[in-house]
Amino acid sequence: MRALVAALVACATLASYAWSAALPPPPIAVGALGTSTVAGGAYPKTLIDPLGERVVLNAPPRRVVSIALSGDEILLELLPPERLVGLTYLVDDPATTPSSVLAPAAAARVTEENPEALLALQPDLVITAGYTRSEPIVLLEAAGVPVVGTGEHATLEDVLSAVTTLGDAVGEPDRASALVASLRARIAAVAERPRGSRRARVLLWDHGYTYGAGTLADDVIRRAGGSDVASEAGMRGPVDLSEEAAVALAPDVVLVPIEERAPRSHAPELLGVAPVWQAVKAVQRGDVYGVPRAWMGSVSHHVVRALEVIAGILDGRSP
Amino acid sequence: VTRAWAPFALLAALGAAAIAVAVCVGVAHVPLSHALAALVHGGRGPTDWESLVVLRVRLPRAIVAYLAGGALAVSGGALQGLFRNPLAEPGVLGVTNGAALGAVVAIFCGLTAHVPAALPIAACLGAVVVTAVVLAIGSRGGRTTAGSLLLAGVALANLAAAGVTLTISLSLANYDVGRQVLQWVLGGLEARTWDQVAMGTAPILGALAVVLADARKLDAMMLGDVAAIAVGISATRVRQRLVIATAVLTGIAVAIGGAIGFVGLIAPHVARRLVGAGHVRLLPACFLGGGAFLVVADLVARTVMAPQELRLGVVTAAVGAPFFLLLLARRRTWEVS
Repeated sequence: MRALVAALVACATLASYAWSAALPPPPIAVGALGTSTVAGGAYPKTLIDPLGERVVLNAPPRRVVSIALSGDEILLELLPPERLVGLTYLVDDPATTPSSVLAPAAAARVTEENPEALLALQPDLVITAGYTRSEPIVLLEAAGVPVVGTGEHATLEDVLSAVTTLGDAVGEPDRASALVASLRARIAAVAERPRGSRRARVLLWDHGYTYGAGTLADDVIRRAGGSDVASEAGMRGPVDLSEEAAVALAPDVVLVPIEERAPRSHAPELLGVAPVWQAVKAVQRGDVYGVPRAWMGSVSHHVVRALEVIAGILDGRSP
Repeated sequence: VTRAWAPFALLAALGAAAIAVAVCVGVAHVPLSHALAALVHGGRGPTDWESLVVLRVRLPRAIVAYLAGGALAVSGGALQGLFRNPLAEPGVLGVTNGAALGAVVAIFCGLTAHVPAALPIAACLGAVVVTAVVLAIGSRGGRTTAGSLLLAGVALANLAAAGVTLTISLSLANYDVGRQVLQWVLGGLEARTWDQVAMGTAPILGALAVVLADARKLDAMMLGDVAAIAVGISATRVRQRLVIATAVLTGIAVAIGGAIGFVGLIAPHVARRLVGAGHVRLLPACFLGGGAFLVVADLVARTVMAPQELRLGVVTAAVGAPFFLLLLARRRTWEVS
């Protein structure tokens, strides 16, 4: 009898796990989501969504919802406010995004954590990021709502192609290419300015974190004429960095993301009171600068403003 | 006979009612008639967002809550009998934390990315190890003392919690892994899908069957191992089986619903009031009561401050901690049998 029960339990468990193995892996197991592509110049267009599904877009969407801050920021440049019915709750914080002034009050504020509120908006297009979890996307697919994800934005080129993809998806390719053209001109202006032969070694110090190779910050620092010390030291991605370890990197310039909306120059006080920073020559010289987080932390077109600010900082201190 | 079944009917009706309410209430306004229609007709028409909210957001979440609550309650009821102690409960004994550690390590090592079943299996392993160690330390020669039992539980619960913290801090070095680990640790029952229902149903019902099959023997063991052996029961074998079954119940509950405390403590005590201390009646009542309790707790968690969700653990702790203190204060009600 007991053996029978045990055998039944084992069989039932195996059967249910065999079934769950046939299902897609659970969302927590999914890493970064894929990047969408939109094909076709005129509607109907073909969209590949972040889970790799092929979806047909029949007409320009009228009820667009974004569950990624970068999506909010880009859409606010491309779409009239009445076509935006949902934005992330982050979009209202001026310290987080310069787009806060553009956000229409009429659009709902949503999060991916609340799939039912998302469905209740009855969107006809949803914008996600590389870090969005996959359950809401699966649900939206089931509801027949097309989903566009712009993946990881690890370089300025990724940002520009995200603008293009979103422009194609929402049916505003002209506004998107105008935005891309103006961004390219600004990036080129930074690249073409005269500068010294030696690249300044830059540390982006985000209070215990920094950003190594493969991050947008690394690309921005390099294009501004500097060199990311974290990347030089072999770090990849966003990484923990203790003050000691930061000091050991001996940067020429320290950049600190700040909540204010204007950059700050010669502000060693941004590093706090830890005496260990006095061992860094850059700190002794006062080469510590505050860069507004709304630009430095952005993974949309606003990051180009950070590029210009950092280039200005590096120019200001080169002989 | 009718009177004997009345408490079970009551608890089952309570659970069904709780699930029905949970399916009809939420941040998105779905009219009651539409919600009921969706339940009756199933999900026809893929573009009907209201049916999707009912059938693919609220219903799986309520069922996961029911399964996890029932599993934790039965685990608590059986452990209280096994340890002959009214304070025994998967959370107090550190079994829940052990399961959470197993789950977090499985995510951290990337096992879950390849094999979804790695999460519940690792959670069960963590739970089995903790239960076995607590049993070995907390009971000597078939006698368990409340002091050593609870201290062993406290020590292991803290050790496992430290392990979870360590895993989180190590995983933060990799953004994607860190995000997955944190999402699991912080996530209550939000974004549950039918995947979790599929993952949990068979092992929970299976382990429940094992525990129920031993219910009478557990009654005999309440009188002591010597008495149990005298009527031909191998106390050691029964104990081993129950340790594994309760650990599976806790492990699966944690894998599908997260580390939820206090359900395993409250439900058995309430159930004992309703159906008495005999495990044949007590354990099914625990399942029905625990399930209903957790569905209601989750409903409270997601509606009280809507659209902001409270964490489920906050709600169960808000009810459970005062209950636990009341138990401690009124020592007379410490009887298990």
